[in-house]
Formats: sequence, structure tokens, C-alpha cells
Amino acid sequence: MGSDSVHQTQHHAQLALDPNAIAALRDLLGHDAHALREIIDEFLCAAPDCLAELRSAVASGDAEAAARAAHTLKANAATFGAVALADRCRAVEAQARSGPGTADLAQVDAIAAEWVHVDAGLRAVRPGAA
Amino acid sequence: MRADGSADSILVVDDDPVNRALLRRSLEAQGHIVRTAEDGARALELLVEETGDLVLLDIVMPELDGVAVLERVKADPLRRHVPVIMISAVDEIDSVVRCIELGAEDYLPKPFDPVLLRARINAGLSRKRLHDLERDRVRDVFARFVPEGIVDQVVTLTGDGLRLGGTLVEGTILFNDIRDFTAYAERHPPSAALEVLNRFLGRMSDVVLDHGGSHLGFRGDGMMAAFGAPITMADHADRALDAARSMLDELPRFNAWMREQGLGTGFRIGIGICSGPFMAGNVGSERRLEYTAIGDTPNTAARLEAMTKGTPHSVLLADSTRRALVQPPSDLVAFGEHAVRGRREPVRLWSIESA
Repeated sequence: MGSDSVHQTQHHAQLALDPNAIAALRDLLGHDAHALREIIDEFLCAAPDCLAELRSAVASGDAEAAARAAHTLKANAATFGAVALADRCRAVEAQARSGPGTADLAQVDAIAAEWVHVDAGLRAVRPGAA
Repeated sequence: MRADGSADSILVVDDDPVNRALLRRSLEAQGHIVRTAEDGARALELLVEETGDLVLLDIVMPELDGVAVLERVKADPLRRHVPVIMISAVDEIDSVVRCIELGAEDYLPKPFDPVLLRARINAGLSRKRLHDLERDRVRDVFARFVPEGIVDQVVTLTGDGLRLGGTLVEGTILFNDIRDFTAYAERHPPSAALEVLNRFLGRMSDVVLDHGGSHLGFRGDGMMAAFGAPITMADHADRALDAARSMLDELPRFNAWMREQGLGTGFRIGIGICSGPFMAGNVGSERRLEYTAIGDTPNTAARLEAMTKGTPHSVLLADSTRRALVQPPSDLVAFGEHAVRGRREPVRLWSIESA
């Protein structure tokens, strides 16, 4: 990976999370670094499973399961200010709810690609072990 | 904080582990005790274990969703007073409206805004605190005239409705009073009259409560009691009659005490009993409530008590009471039909052989 693309990834990671949302989270958690780390870890742990569920639901045409997975990912993304990820998930959820076979795997790929940036962004704001 | 200074207990219901952890940590940072449930069924289990002070409830959950949990909580007389705040995404506003109609206190949009979260939680907890204070006040008022075991039952059954107003019940009313207390009060110092009266009413009140009756208040030198209200009982007439016997048994002991104390030679008493329908409930103003009975049945019981004065009997009971007895005793004696003031038809009266 060239230095340009490393730069680009860092840039994306910074853009992936809205700093206002992270500030609100810190406020919600009473500025407890340990709590913030716990919440971020919960999301880092849950998101890949959720993505996998979304992919298999879309692949198998299970609209209800697809909508549910997209809904969960959307809500969590919004919590961390991952605006682009939330938007993509919202679109898939709305499509899945409108009927089976409407969401396609290309959209899931786009969500997975955005997740890479969000993942990096989360690791950047995650407080280190105290 | 609760009225007693302990931390509030909040139940967080959300199927999403990230949200659960976020709300738990956030609420703990504000000093609350937090329990979490990952689905509706578990939430209902935890609510049965301990009601708590507030519920934060996610609307979209698999199996039993937030709307279904809310419906069950609001249908449960033991738990419907607990404020429920719905957690919702911005695009679920239709469900939110439905939840507010079903009795939800408020809602919190996701993602959570720290200021809004604190404000809505605190508003919900304040309302719960007010409800608890009001319930304790009602309990205190009630505890004075209802047997202890019944207080909780009544407070639970009536819930928020335990204010002004009453219900039509079928039961028995008993009046008793001291004969010629006015003459006694004229011949004795007020302090002696008060001491005698307090002891007498205290003893008689205990007899009423011991027989499962409700003490409805003092009337001058006597008292009114109800059997069958606020809690319905099939044997209300039997209990009232037994209470009357116990009152007559108590009298010689009371008179002996008066003589020992040099307070007088003792009293005679009169008791009137009538069964039938009457209104039982809280009468008065919001600030000064009295639980009492209203209607023809208590009126007649009061008249019968007054009528004992002109008869050799200490106890007079209406035929309605004799007919309501589950186990009629063999020592009832007929006292004929008598006109009772305020009633067009004469009333068949009965007494007890030894009284």
C-alpha cells in the first residue's frame, strides 16, 4: 500500500465518524473513558456479525431478516455518527421493507466498504487500556 | 433519587447489545441502578421480580416487541404506574404515537441526545416519585380505619383511583354509642370525659378491626363501622353480629377499668346493625379525605342504634341483616315490626337473647 492510500484511509476514517456524535457519546457516558471503550468494543464486535447476517439475508432473499439487520446496523452507526454508513443501511432497510428481492448484494458490498472506514475511525477514537 | 434517598432503579429493554451497554453506562454515570433485558419476555420477568422506578423500552424487538410489552405493563394493576419511555428511531414516529396513546410516558429518539436523555429520565422519575408519595399518603389515611392486611390490597386494587369517589357495595353497617354520655360529661371534668371516651372508642375500634371490619369514623360518643367494604366479604352480616357480641363482652372489662380509675360507675351501650347496599368511598376534599359509607343502610343502622334507648335491648338488627347471615345463630329474638324514621315501610327488627 503506497503512502497516498494510507493517507487516504486515515482521511476516510476521520470523515467516517461525526466528531459531534463522539462528543455527545462522551457526554452521555459521563466522560468515562472505560465506558466509551466498552461501547466501542461492543460495536466492533457486533457489526461484523450484523454485516454477515445482512449479506446472507439479501443473498437468500429473506427481506424481513435483511431489514432487521440493516435496522440494527443503521441505529448503531447513527449512535457513533457514522453518517454515511447509517444512510446506506437506511436505504437497504427501506428497500427490504418494501418487498422481497429489492435489495441487492452490490449495496451490501458498499456497506461493507464503508464499514472498513468506520472500523478504522472507531479504533482511532477508542481510548487505550487504562 | 427516591423519596427515601435510595437510588432509582431503571430497567433498560433493548435487543441491541450496543444500545444496552450505552444506556447502562450512561444511566449508571447519573447514579441510577440499572437492570437490562435483551427481549420483551425477559423484561416482563424482571418487572415481576422488582417493579422499579422507570422502564426504557425499545419499540422494535423480535418476538415480544416494545408495544406488546407496554400493553402488558399498562394492563397490570401492580405495574401500570411505572413510567415507560419508548426508545425509537426517528422513522418510527407512528409507533411512538401509538405507544403514547397506550400510556407510554414519553419517547427518546435514537441516537440519544445527552441533554434530552437526562431531561426525559428525570421527568419520568419525578412523576414516579409523586405517585409514590401520593400512594403513601393514601395508605396512611387508609391504615387508620381498615385492618392492616387490607390496606395494600385496597391501594393495589384501586391504584390511581383512590381519591374522591366511591363504589356501591353490599355489606353491613354497625353503629354503637355510649348511653347518656352527655350527662356523664356534665358531671365530670372534661379531661376525664376525654380519657374515658378515647379508651372506649379505642377498644371498640379494635373489636371492629379484629373482625375484619372497617372503622368509618367516630360520631360524637359512638362510631360507625362497615363490614364488606372496601373488600367484599360474603359473611359481612355474621362478622358484624360477632363484633357486636365482642363489644358487649368488652363492656364489663371497660366498666371495671372506669371504677378502678375512679372515673365513674360505668356505661351502657347501644348497637344498631343494618345490611344492604350502600356507597363506600372517600368523601371530603382532596386535602381532607374521609372513608365513609352513605345511603339508606347506614341511615337505618344509626336509627336502630338510637332506638335501643327505649327498649330493654342493647342490640337491634334489621331483618336485612338476619337474612344476610351465612350461619344464622339460634339466639336471635324477634322484636316485631317498627316504624323507623326516614323509612316509609315498617322494619322487622331482631335482637340477641342475652342483649
